Amino acid sequence: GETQKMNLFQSITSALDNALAKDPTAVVFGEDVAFGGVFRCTVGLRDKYGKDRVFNTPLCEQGIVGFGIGIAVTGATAIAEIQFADYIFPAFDQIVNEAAKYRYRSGDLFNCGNLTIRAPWGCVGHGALYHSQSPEAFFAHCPGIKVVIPRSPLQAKGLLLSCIEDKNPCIFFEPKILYRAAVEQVPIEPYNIPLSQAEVLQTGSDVTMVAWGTQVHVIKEVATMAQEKLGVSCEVIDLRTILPWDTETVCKSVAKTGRLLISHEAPLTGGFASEISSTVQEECFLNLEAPITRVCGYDTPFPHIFEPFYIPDKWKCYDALRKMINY
Amino acid sequence: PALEQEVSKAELVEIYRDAVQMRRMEMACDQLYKAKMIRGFCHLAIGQEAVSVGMHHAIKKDDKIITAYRCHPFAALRGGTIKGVIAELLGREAGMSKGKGGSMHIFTPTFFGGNGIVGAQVPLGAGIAFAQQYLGQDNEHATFAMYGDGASNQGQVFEAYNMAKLWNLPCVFVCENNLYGMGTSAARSSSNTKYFQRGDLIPGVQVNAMDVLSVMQAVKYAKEWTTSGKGPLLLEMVTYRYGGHSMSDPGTTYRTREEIQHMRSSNDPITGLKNLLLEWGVVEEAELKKIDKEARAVVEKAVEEAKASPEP
Repeated sequence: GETQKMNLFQSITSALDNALAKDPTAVVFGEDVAFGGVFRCTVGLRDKYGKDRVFNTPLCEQGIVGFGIGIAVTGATAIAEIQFADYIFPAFDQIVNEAAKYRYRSGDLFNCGNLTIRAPWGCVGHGALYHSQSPEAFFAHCPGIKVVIPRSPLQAKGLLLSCIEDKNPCIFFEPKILYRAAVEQVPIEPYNIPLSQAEVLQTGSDVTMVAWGTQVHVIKEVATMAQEKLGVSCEVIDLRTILPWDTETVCKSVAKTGRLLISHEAPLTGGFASEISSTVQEECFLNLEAPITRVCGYDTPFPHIFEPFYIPDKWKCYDALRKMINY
Repeated sequence: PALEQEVSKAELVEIYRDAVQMRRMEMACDQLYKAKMIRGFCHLAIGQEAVSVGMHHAIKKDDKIITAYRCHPFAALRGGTIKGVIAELLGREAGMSKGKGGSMHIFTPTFFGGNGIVGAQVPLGAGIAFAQQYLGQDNEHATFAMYGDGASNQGQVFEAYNMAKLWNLPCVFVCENNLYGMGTSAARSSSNTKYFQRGDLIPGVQVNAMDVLSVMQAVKYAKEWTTSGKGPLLLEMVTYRYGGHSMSDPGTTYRTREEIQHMRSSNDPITGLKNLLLEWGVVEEAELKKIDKEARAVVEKAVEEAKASPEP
């Protein structure tokens, strides 16, 4: 259909606009969403849909999510915003103990599948400890919810709409560094991108590289570097959904290439790469030509001045890839 | 608290000096941020000097304070230095956290920061007060757990209130109400904007915190209260920030320029103190001008020294 040039925050606004238009029970709430949000994701929505559908909450993350669960349980569609993923932790109990277990513990009599939580995610250059975190690994450990991370505006709109329509509570992390930087032609009409399906962006024969969110762009660049400098052909995969993740696509790829590199900003220990690594070695043990390598953030709080040294940049990834090739 | 107060002339001059230096320090930070030498986040307390300076002069050096991110004056006054604060914001070795923390993460042995997550510092403050009680210091020392009007709606604040009251902790909760939580006015975020009343059974006092002497009096009273076994107290400091929430906020989209101008011209804590000092004949105007000039020089020197410090 008709497309429009949109950056990431505009594609989010477009998705929310579509959701509010299609679903009369949908409501959008969170801190500062009424005027448009600190990242402009909700601009214009309150004017268009009214103050009882797009409204601010006080500064209380646990309250926001608990309240959202309540709305969702009654059958209305709740789209809650947590202002930064770093602030999601007061709501951790609500997400893990309440939202994730609702359907299970009521024997499917009740559920809060209509809940979607959105939060800006990942490093941004100057965010430091509390405006840069990537907490997907904490939530990956929680059966009962879905965790989704888009890499671009086109992906974001389709994935967000899928989350909103999905019958399970979903957490949607938005790479804040891409809010203005990433621009694409995005359809104005609603469309869905399926959850739990990874996407192979580039096929290759020698190495599989897996990432999500901003880091997908880094490994794409590394794939080009590897081809040019080493003549190595890389298969690049955007995982897209962290939980439940597409084991089939990743394992099929590693069975073909024999080598796997996973990269994320979040700290190494207990990061989601460890889950992928564990499953892949179980499924593809005899296919592996080299140990699975993870290029991640260090096991420290996210630094302020040391950010450029902390993040798994293309050089670190390239170096790790080289070592794998030469193993 | 009593409406009569005794302060020595010398102390009044010191208070003025501190207030002016804190104002100058924050203004220097503003400039350095705009010059892109300070990066990241920067929340300035311009307009709120009475709270930090008044509190500092009402308590002992080893009383404990914990607050959120609008913390530069507290860090400098409570065992730090202006150079240390500025160097920290510049990310240099001479900074109080060796340049690794930045604006929100500055500490001294009696000042527990400098905290990024809104409201998280309040239960910590209750814990510090508990330690004082446990170590038998609570007949002489108290902890001041500070937070803002925005943070007052965090659940953990109420959890801290309950624990402090239940265990009779020497904890003074201080709600620094500058009328806006980022861009949200108090009335739009809080069902009860009388923040001093929200401690349930914890008694509360509302303070005009654009007046240093009121702050001093209230804080002195609060400390006496909590260190005489009466348990926690809640102080609401009604103050105002001229700047935005942080350096990325112009501060004009959610309030009128007239309002800001009005506060600056008729409620400024430094001007207010200056007028009192002159009215009471504590010092000559020339002396105050000298202090102003010295403060500017002190801060300029601190900035130069901070800039000269290497990166870690």
